[in-house]
Amino acid sequence: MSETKQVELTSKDKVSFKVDRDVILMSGLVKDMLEEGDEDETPIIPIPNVDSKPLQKVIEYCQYHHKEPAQEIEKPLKGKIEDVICDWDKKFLEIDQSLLIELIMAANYLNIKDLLDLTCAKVASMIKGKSPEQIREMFGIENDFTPEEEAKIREENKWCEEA
Amino acid sequence: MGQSLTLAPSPSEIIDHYPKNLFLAKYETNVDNDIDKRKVYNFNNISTLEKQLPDELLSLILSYLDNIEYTKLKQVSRNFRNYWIRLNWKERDSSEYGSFIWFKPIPKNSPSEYFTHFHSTFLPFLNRNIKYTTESGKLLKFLIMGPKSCGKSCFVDRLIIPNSKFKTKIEPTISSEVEFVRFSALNETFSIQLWDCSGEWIYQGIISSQIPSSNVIVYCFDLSSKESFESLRMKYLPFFLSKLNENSIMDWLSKKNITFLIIGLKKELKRQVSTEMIEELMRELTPNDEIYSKGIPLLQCRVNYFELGSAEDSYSQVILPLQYALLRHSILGQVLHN
Repeated sequence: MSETKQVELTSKDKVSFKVDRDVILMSGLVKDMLEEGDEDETPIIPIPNVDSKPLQKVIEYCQYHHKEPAQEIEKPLKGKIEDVICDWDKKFLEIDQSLLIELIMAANYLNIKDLLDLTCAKVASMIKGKSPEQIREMFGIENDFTPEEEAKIREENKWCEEA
Repeated sequence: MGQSLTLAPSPSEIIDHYPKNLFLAKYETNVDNDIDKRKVYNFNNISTLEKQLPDELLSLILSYLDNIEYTKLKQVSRNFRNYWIRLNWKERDSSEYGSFIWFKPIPKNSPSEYFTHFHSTFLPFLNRNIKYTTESGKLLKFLIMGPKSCGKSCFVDRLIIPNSKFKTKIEPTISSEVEFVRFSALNETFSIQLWDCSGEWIYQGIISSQIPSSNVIVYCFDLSSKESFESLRMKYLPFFLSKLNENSIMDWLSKKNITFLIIGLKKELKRQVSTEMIEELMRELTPNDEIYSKGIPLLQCRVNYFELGSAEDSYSQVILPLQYALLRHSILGQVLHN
C-alpha cells in the first residue's frame, strides 16, 4: 500500500480517476464530502456534473498547485492574462474555448476558487482588445441593434476608442 | 431627479419600459442593480457564454475587464447593453474611475456616478463638436508648467500630433517651447498655443511674464513623486499669489476667466500621490462648500483635475483636458453656462 491516501473520482461519463487525497482537497466540494465519510479505504466520489476531459484538467491543475498556490489575479486585468500568470498556467490554458467553458463550470461545481479565477480571467482576456464584431463571432451572437441604435452607441462610446 | 435619469448609462427605451414612478422609486432606493431580466433581455440572441454559464460566473468574467473594455461591450448586443453592463455597473471598483478622471462638480456621491455623468453627457458632446482643423482662429493660450521631468514635454508631444509615439528619451526643456495646434468647436475655430515651460525654477521669469496673457494654466505633476505634487502648494501657488498681488487663487481665476487644469502624469507608474491627497488639494483650491454639497454645472468648474499616462493612453484620452478647456472657452461653453 502506498503511504498517501487516495480518492477515486468518477466523472459524468463514468471514467474513474485516482487522486492523492492531499491534492484533491483543493476542491471545496470534495473536502466537504470527505469530512463526512470515514477515511479507512479509498472513497469513491461521483462527480456527476463534470465530464472526464475537464475533470482530467482539473486534477492536473490541483496536482501542480496544491503545494504552491497561484498568485491572485488582480482585477481589473492588467494587460493580457499571459502577462500575469506563471508559465505552467500559460501552458495549462492552451485549450479550446468549449473546454475552457467546461473547465469554468467544473471549477465552479467543485469549488476551486483559484482555478475559477484563472479560467474566468482567461475569458476576460480573450474579450480584451477585440472589436464588437469579433466578440459577437467569438460568442456566436448576432448584432441585434437597429442601425439608428448602433449609430447612437458608437457616438456614446467614441471616447474609449483609439483615435 | 428627472435629470439623474438621463445620466444613468441606460438607453431611454429601458426607462420607457418602466412605469415612471416605479423607476424613480427604484432609483431612489438605490436598487438599480435589480434589473428585471425578463423585461430587457433578448432571449433569441444568447451567447455561448450566457447559454452555459450561470449569471454570477459571467459577472465574474466581466469583473476582470477594465472600465474602458467594459463600456465597449455595450456595442456588442442588446443583452450586453441592456443587461450585463447595467447589472454590474455599480459594483465596479470606483477607485478605477478615479484614476481615469476625477470629477467633482455634480451633486452625486460616488466617483462612479461622476464618471457615468461625465461620459454620458460631456464626452459624446465633445467628440461631436470638437474637431482637429488646419484653419486658424481665435487664439487660446495654454501655459504648461510643473516641476522638472514630470512629463510635460512628452504630454505636449502627444497633444500636437494625433498618432505620435511616446518618446522615452527627451531632453530637458530650456526656457520654454511654443507649439501650435488647431481645433474647431462647432463653428468656432481655435488656434491653440501651448507654452511648454521648463521645469527648472531658474526659468520662473517666463511663467510670470506669460501668466497675464494666458487663458488656460496647466499644472502638471508626476503621480509617482510626492515631491512633484507638493511643489504646487509649496512653490507655484505662493509664487503666483505674490506675483499677482492676490489673496485667493480662485478670485484671480474668475476675474481673468482663466481655466486652471491640474494634470497628474505618469499614471502607468507606481503611484505615490493618492486620490485623497488630490481631493484635499481640490478642496483647498475651491473652498466653497456649496460646490460639494449641492454641486455646480460641469463647465462652471474653473479648476479641474485630470489623470493621464502619456505612454499608454490613447489620443482621445490625452486630449481630454485640452478639449475640456476648449469647451469652457468656446461659445458653446457660454451657452451651457446659462
